[in-house]
Amino acid sequence: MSLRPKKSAAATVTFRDVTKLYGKDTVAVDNISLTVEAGTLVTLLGPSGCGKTTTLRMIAGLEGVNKGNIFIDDEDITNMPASERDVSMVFQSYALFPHKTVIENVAYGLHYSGLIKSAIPVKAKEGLSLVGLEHLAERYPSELSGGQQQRVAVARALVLEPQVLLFDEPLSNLDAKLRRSVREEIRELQQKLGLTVVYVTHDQEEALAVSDKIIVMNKGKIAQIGSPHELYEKPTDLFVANFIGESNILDCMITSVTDKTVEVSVGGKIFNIPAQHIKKGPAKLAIRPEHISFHNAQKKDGFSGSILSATYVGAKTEYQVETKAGKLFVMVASTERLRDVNTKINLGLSPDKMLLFND
Amino acid sequence: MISALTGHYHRNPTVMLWLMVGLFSSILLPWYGIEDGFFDLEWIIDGYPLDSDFAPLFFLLGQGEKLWLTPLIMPFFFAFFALTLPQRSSAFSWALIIGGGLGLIWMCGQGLSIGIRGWQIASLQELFGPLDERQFGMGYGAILYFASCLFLFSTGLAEQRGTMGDKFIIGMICFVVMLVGIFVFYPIIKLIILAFIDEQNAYSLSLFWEKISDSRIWSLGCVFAERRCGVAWNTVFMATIVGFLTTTLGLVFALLVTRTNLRYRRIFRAISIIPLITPPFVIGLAIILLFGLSGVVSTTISDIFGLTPTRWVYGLPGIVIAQTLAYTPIAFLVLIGVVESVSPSLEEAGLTLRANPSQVFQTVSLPLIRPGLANAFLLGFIESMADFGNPLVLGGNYDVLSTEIFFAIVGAQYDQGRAAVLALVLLSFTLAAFYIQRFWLGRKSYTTITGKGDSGYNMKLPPLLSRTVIFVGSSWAFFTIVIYSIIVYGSFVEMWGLDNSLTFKHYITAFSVSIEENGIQWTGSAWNSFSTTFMIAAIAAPLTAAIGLVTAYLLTRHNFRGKNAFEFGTMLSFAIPGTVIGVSYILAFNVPPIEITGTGIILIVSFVFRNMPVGVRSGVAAMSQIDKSLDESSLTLGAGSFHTFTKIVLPLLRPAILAALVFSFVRSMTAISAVIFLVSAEYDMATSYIIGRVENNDYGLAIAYSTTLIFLMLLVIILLQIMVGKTVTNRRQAGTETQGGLNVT
Repeated sequence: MSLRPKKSAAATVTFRDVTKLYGKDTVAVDNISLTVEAGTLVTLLGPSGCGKTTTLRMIAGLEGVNKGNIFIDDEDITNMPASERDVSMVFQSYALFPHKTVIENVAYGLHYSGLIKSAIPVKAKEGLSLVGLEHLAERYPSELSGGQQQRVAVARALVLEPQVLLFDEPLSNLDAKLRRSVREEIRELQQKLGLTVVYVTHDQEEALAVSDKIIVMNKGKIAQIGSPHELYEKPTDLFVANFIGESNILDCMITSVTDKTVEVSVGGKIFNIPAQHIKKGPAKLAIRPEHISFHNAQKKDGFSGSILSATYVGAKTEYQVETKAGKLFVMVASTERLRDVNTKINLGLSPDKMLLFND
Repeated sequence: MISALTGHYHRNPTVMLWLMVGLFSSILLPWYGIEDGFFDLEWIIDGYPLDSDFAPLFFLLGQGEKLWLTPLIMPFFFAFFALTLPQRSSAFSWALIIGGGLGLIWMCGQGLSIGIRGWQIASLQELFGPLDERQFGMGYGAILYFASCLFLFSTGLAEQRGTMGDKFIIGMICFVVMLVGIFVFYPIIKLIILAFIDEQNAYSLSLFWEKISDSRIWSLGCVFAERRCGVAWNTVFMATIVGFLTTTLGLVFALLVTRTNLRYRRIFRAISIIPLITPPFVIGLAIILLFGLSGVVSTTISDIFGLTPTRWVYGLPGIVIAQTLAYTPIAFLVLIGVVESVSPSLEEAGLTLRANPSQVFQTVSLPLIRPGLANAFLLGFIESMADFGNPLVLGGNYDVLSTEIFFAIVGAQYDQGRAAVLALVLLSFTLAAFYIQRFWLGRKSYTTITGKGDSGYNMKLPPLLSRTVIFVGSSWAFFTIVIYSIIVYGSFVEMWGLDNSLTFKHYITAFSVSIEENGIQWTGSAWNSFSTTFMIAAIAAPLTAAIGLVTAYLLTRHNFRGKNAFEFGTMLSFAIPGTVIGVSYILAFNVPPIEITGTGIILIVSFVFRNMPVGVRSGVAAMSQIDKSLDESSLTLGAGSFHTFTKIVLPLLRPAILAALVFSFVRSMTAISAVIFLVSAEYDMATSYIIGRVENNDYGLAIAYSTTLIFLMLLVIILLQIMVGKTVTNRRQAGTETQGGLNVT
């Protein structure tokens, strides 16, 4: 297959101190800097209104930049019109042209890329075969299922062999079953072709599953950049700890800090946990629900509490437990015995899984 | 030089293109307008390029003539200079802005101050002394030169704005602004100036005050004494009654069609639309045939009751009846949209909260419709004020502003100043109504279409109301049918009221054709105006659709400074009555720099800018149905905004384009108010020809001609329905599933 974009096509995207305002004083993106390495899939993740889609649209040239510069490789593209950028985008709504057939949709961009005319149909066909839809070339978009439309949109963007490929929440219009397989296909294509992909989603599970690197955004700023593993295990602030996965956030007091350990008092108990970057004084403690376990009532080393509610959700059971430190959310494998509401229980918290944040 | 230029061509094709157009127009094309007509080509062999009547700009200057045009060379230097600068540099854009701007300003300045008789502004004459030379209106050269300056200027502006500065978009914005400025605002400004000028050509506020406070305009004699009221109050009074009646009947029809179980209610929809395609004064004619001195109803009643027929219908009653018939469809179309958009779930909520149907109607449905009612009233008010044909045909002694303006210009008084003052009064009334409609009502609408499908059905009317609505609606529909039957029947009657025998005479007089040795001879008296009308309407329609859709595209898809003012400016001409347009066009385009009175062009231009708001409206409505991500994906796929517009937006807009085409075609065929000022012997229009026949009491011919027009228009509309209907169903088949994909956000 000749369509394999040369690895050299994939490019690095760099933001340098970029700010985007809507109107006079609504800050959509606030002075962000980031780098997307060539050939990697980077996800912009955050709640709605955090500026992730605006960031993506600035790469595409669909939004202007108020301050700062955007580079693709070494070229400053800040003021380059969208149609001249070597960037393609897969839209949330797919944006397939309803008056054009599948193959015409895929060929559309090729007409404007300086290709000789006779090469266009060949190239378009190759693009379709890449997503396995050659047999539907003459259909109209409305005659396809949602998943097929999605693939056409991907093929349409891919045939241009862009330096950067953008995805704006590509899975949000698919049903839950399809999502998993489509996201795997996207990841596979990206790795096979060595593409630079910037991917926007608000679904943290999706982000964790597909990304080389995740950029968590909050209120127009970058909260944290890291690999999925880093973000989940070592969130650097409370927002990320809370947004990626679920966490119990408890008030605590740091009583002493040494090179090796931190002593923290929470709910009347003292824990010694491995050293973290933290100052003495009141702080917040985050611990994930799966890192809290049930002990026998006789054991005295954890929190004691009583079960407020128990929700069976299949593989796991979720409990709300009232303790001195506050209400705790606990997730336990359903293979363990189910416990009734109002049962007195002892909770074990593993100190090495606790994360501390200054207020 | 050449190689340097071609080298630059790749760097900025837009600047090169417009620079070339500018040079071409000033080196090769006659600068001034050709007296024999825009399309006449005799000048090529008639002294071109040296004769100063036909000489291009450079030849004029080379021969030392019209030296005030010399600064017009400046833009070329600026554009050449810009081409030597790096693109996207601020100097590059400023060179273009200054160069293009200089050209535009100097063109306007010299054009307005030097005319056929030398200086047109007294103070300039004092300053520079009298001028021996004179100049005529703009010709090919001047027009193209002007366009090239405009687009050089807009390209410069686009370069200033970085990423979002799209040359095509900014060029289009500048182009539309320029057109609206020249053909909507400039004539109105001329009109205002004229109202302040006295006989000695001096500005006089006191004279203006004297003219505008004339008791013939503002007298309230009919209220306080047994005298006649001023023409302004007459007009307001008439328009208020008509607005009220059309709104009521429009609501009745809307409720009848959507909220009753009447079996044949779809027919009402059709019946209520017919008046839209009728030249408005035709209904006036039918009223005369029914209620006039020798009308059917009048003579029947006088036979039965032995009464002498009176002239009661000539005056306010006749105008009101005719206008109510003519403008109810507009209110109906507004109100049916409003009534249908009242969410069924609101009414259902009312019912489940223990209110009975008639309480729900009073407390929920009606209040929700109320802003729509006000809207319909204001539209009827504006239309009635602007109407010219019916008051002319039926007015009798009841003077209204639109006819008074006409008689001030055309009649024995020939008083342009008075016409201007009257036109200003009329314009301020309609603008006030327009302002209220847009800015006050604009914020008061409750009925919004959320796009989330409300399930459920709109409540049917409570029984008593339902019966009233059916009774009133059917009666009015019956009356409409009678009116149209009379029109068709009347066209076959020898001499209405005197000789009621049937004949084809009128059709033969109007549309006879004879075949002779040298081909077909169009001997009928109507053929001349008929073919002119058809041609002018056929040229105006695509232009209207084009400028309307381009404007709609700019309004819905792009953000730019002054967008609200831009929108207001493009919608404004809707509120300018045809008579005011007519007068102001005569004032503005009779003299250089734009000299087009008496040509077909002025008719085309007046149609394009009168009908533009409707083109914009239908374009905006259609375009907001098309998801913006379609445009954006086209852009990211490498197509510029020009290709995005032509390859993506336009094909999806086909139904809207057809609607705009037909609408403007029909309006151009049926319009009378502006036309009557602008026609000439050479370019006579069907409607003004018919009015001429009416004034000569030649009703038979007038009605036969009108009937032909109505059927022609019906044919056009039916053809359109078939074409659009197909497109729509195709899109629906093709579009249902996409819709889900396209609109979910």
